[in-house]
Amino acid sequence: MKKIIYDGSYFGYLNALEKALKENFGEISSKEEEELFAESFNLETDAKKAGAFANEIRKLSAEAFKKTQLLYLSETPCFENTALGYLKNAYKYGPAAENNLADKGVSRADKLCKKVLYESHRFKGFIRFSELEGGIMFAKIAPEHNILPLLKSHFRTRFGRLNFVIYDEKRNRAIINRPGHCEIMEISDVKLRFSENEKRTRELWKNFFKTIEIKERKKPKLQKSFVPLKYRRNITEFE
Amino acid sequence: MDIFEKLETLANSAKYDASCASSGSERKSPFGSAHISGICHSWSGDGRCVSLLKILLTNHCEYDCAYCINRKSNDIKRAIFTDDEIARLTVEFYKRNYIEGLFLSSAVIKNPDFTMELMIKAVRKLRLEYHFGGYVHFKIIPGSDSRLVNEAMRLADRISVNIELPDHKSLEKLCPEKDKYSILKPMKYASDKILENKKNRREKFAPAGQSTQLIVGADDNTDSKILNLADHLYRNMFLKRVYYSGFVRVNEDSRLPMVKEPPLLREHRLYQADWLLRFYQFKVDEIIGADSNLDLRFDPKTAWALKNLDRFPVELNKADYETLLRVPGIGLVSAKKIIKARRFSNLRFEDLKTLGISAKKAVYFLTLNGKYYGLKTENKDKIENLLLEYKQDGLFDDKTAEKTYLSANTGNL
Repeated sequence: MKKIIYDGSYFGYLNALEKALKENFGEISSKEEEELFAESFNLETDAKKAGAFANEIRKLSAEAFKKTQLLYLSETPCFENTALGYLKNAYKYGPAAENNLADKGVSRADKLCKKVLYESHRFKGFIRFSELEGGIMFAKIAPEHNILPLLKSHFRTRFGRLNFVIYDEKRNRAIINRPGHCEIMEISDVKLRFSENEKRTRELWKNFFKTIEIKERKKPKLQKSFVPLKYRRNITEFE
Repeated sequence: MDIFEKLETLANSAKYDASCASSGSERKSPFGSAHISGICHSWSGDGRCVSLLKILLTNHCEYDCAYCINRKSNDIKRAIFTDDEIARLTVEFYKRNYIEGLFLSSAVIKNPDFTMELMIKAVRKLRLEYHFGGYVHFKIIPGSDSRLVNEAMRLADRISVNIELPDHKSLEKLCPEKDKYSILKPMKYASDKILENKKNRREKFAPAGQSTQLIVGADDNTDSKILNLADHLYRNMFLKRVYYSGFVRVNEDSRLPMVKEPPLLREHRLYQADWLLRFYQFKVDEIIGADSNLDLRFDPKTAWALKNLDRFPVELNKADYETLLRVPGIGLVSAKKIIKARRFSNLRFEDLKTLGISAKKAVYFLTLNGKYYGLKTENKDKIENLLLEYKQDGLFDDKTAEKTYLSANTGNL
């Protein structure tokens, strides 16, 4: 099994995909592994080449490019190989490849991309901001996939005029927005002090949330499947 | 009364309005936006989506409707918000991403016009002083003047006026102060205005349209009556949604039926039938006969298929979209997937799993490449028994209940 080892970066990922497709490598990984029978190749990242390849995929099929990006954000084990499998299809069939859902490779990529998009859509609802002293709105999230890039545009449109931070505590990265300027940055060592107003507003919300339940229709199991336990830590009304 | 107590009182008073959507509008503004498909921010303990700050401006009411918690003769805590309190609450919750926006309704204080004017004042403050660009659902008070309905429509994304009871007999019995005309007049006015505005497209005028609510089980109206009314509202009044709210017995009153629990299963079946009307291209009389109720044992699509077995099986690789939609177990998303996938290759039974389509029900109504994977005999009773979701005595397991609830919410049938 011919394998490419890359550095884990997005550009490196694109480089690896290009090489695997054009030189018929079977596997891509960002981890060095001791395998006796594996023939592996250590690939150096080339940003310029990555950009050119990205354009190539985009010209081939806009959907294929979108999927390539989403798969990188999924951070699921072996996402690189899923992407490779999908691109092989895309090169064979062009834009129509996304319809070939009976194909296991296409189906796997399709399902994984939907999973990432679904999580990002859910988080548009689940993210909770707290007002800090000084007026910054601060939110903490712990998503399974790397969805900050997918959330940026939505929150910038909605709250562009505010100072806000959305901090991914699993990845130590955050969307940081000031009026007119929004970017994703590495951050660490976050110290929080809530404003006076914050505590009162939280209590209002928590009580509202409890009050609106119609007890004769109580369904805790359903609530669990709609709001998974793994996310509840950062959702105010479930704290 | 402090804001904490007011919010608790007036949220409690508003919770029996089932409408929850924050969809249908694509607004962008310096502060706030609306997402076309709506966003669910949370789910309450009763499994319902929480997307808006749903409150009454006041629960002081002049009327004494039998089924309503806020009726005049009830001895409950009464409160009223100021316009600023409503605007501030909405903005503070919105900033924290707790909500998509405001759902403002009210009991009738003094008279309908007076109430509407108070509500309009609050929403104007929210829109113009606080520059709120998020979602607003404005509840129209029956009997209010058209010019006030007009103003509300300029401020809101969605408006609604609740029919509650599907015929004037029940209305007379349970809500003697309201009449059919006071409810339908603003609805018709809004419907005409929305149509007119669509042609002119000059400004945002209730872009997310109108909805309404019907109470299920507070009277002896059949599902046939309810669904025919809903069908008329969709076709002739162009409503976006009809909500069906299972009757919860909150008051002791001899005019109300003695039910221990809200008729949830009946409510779910109505929602499923509603999806069939709106998305699956079913006609009302295909779903329900005159003067009858939906079969609780099956979802209405399966019930229809069992009555029309002569139309099946259909060939998965050849049937058109409309026909595929008629197959129990093939929903809107699955039908589209099948159409896409079969452009590439003939679909075999094994491919259904890859496509993520559950064949449990569908298998009795399909062939794949001519082969039938269901029962050897196409015996109606045998198939019925296999597809039975609920036994006659109404007992069902949690898992089926959950599946039915999800299907009623998502339209997967």
